[in-house]
Amino acid sequence: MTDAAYVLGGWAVTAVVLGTYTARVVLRTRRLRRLDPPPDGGRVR
Amino acid sequence: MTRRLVEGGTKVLGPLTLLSMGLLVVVGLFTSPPDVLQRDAVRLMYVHVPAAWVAYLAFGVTTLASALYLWKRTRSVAWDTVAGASAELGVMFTGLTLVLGSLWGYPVWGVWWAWDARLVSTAVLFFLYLGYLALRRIPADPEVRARRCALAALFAFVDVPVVHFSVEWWRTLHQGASVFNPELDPTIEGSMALALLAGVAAFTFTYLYLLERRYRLAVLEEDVDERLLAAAIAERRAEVTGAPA
Repeated sequence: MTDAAYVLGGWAVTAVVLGTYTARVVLRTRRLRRLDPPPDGGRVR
Repeated sequence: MTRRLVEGGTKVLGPLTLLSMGLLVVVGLFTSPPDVLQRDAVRLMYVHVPAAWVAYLAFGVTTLASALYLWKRTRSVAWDTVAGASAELGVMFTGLTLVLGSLWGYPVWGVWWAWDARLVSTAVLFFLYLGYLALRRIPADPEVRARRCALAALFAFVDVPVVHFSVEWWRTLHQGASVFNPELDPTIEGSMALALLAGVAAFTFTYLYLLERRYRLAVLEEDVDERLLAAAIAERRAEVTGAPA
């Protein structure tokens, strides 16, 4: 394999990991809000 | 006040993260030159080093939040939530550091993995905080759990300086410091340093953005659990007394 393949592989892994984690957090937040919306819209301590 | 600050922070951090990531792609993959020895493989440094830096930062925040939880004057459940959220991100960035290091290591060293002090201590760090996250999931009284986890976080952080100084304390295959190394001659080239700086900035903004989102999610999860528990208790009471819930 060429160096470019390792580079693109590494950058793609980074994008997939960060993207998947962000999507998971955002979607779970939305699902919980829909499931049981708190009266204050989600307090922040 | 805190809420307004956090919400304002999110509004700024989201676009800032996207912009800095875009800049990183441009300078890291296109404008920075290939290295004389490592050729294009050097471009993995612009994601590997920032991932490692953010892992240190995340575990540092976990330790600080844990210490603030343990200190009676600042004890608040919010610090425990911050510690847990930051540790989860730290584990993700440490895992990413290990995978990217392996992908960089093969074309440069010829091996995917070596039993090297830096690599092994980083893997130990990954498993220590994975254990910390497992500890957080063990059902217990919230206060007992928070105190137990705060102590575990302080213990786990001992490995962070070991990881950082491993390249100085032991003879390793892993290279030493490249940026803050006064003995390095020649020093890191300007556009490569810029790409590295862009990577550190982009990953730091990503971490801050995700920390805020993960913290919010954790608070929401606690609220929903409390509401479901209160509803279940009310339902059980109604069953016993025969009164409507």
